[in-house]
Amino acid sequence: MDISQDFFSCYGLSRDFAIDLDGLRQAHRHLQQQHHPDRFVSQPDSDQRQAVQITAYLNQAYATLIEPLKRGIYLLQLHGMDPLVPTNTSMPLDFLLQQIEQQERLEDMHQAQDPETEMDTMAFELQTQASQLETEFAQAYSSAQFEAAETAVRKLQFIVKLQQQLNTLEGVLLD
Amino acid sequence: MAYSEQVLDHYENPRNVGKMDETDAHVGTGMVGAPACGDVMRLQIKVNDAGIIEDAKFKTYGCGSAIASSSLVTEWMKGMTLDQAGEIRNSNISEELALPPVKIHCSVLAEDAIKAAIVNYKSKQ
Repeated sequence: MDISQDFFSCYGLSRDFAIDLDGLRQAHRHLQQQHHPDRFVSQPDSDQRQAVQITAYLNQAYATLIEPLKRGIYLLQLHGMDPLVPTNTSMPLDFLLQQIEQQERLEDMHQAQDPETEMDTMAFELQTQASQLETEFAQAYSSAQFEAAETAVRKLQFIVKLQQQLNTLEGVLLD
Repeated sequence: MAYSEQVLDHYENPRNVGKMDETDAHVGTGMVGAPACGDVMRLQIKVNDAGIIEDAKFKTYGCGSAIASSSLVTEWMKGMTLDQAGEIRNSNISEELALPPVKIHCSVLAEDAIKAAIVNYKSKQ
């Protein structure tokens, strides 16, 4: 197996945002079994090393493609772009205002009368926002509007971070 | 990764946290965000008629280095002219706070927030 090919090719997928997730899972399981290092213990060292390399490659490929955010970033990287370059800090103003509001909401969650309901509501809203951004990305990418695709994936990165923060907070407040 | 003493000091005792009236003609507001880490920073300056920054406030949602970077620049900017504040570079901030290379982007965020606040103030004059 060629581990210099891109992650889509290794699973026989076309380079697109909309992918068949079940197909990906099956293809991954199949390749993982085929190249599992345990199968090469009685083989020459070079074969064992290769199996380990392929397994590491497959793990990375799967982790990248299964997550919409990582998949989007990867698609743009294949296109020669770097959506998360740290020197680009300009984001649409309305989006940043919304981000600050959402961060303040997280902060106020400690004083909420019914934090469980509030957190459920926020989780639902974030999931809606994430789905919208994924749709925006898919449409922009498939019509070769790469800058719009980049904006969508940059926004999605913020939403995913909020989701992680909310998860952590749920663990703290509901235990 | 360990934070430097300077970062911890600003992180534990952040200076000038707060919000000013965005509609005030003397106030410039800069907002920036770093997708790489999901940090959001709001930096505000209050400029007097002599063109001197007499007050600065910030609110940063992010890691210790991002909070320390914005806290530090609000201290630095007070008493500066707009031109002087506009000359603050991320390298000045990262040197002062002894930021490790992986956290340099936090100081970039602070530098860009200053510039955005100045642009916003000037657009109101």
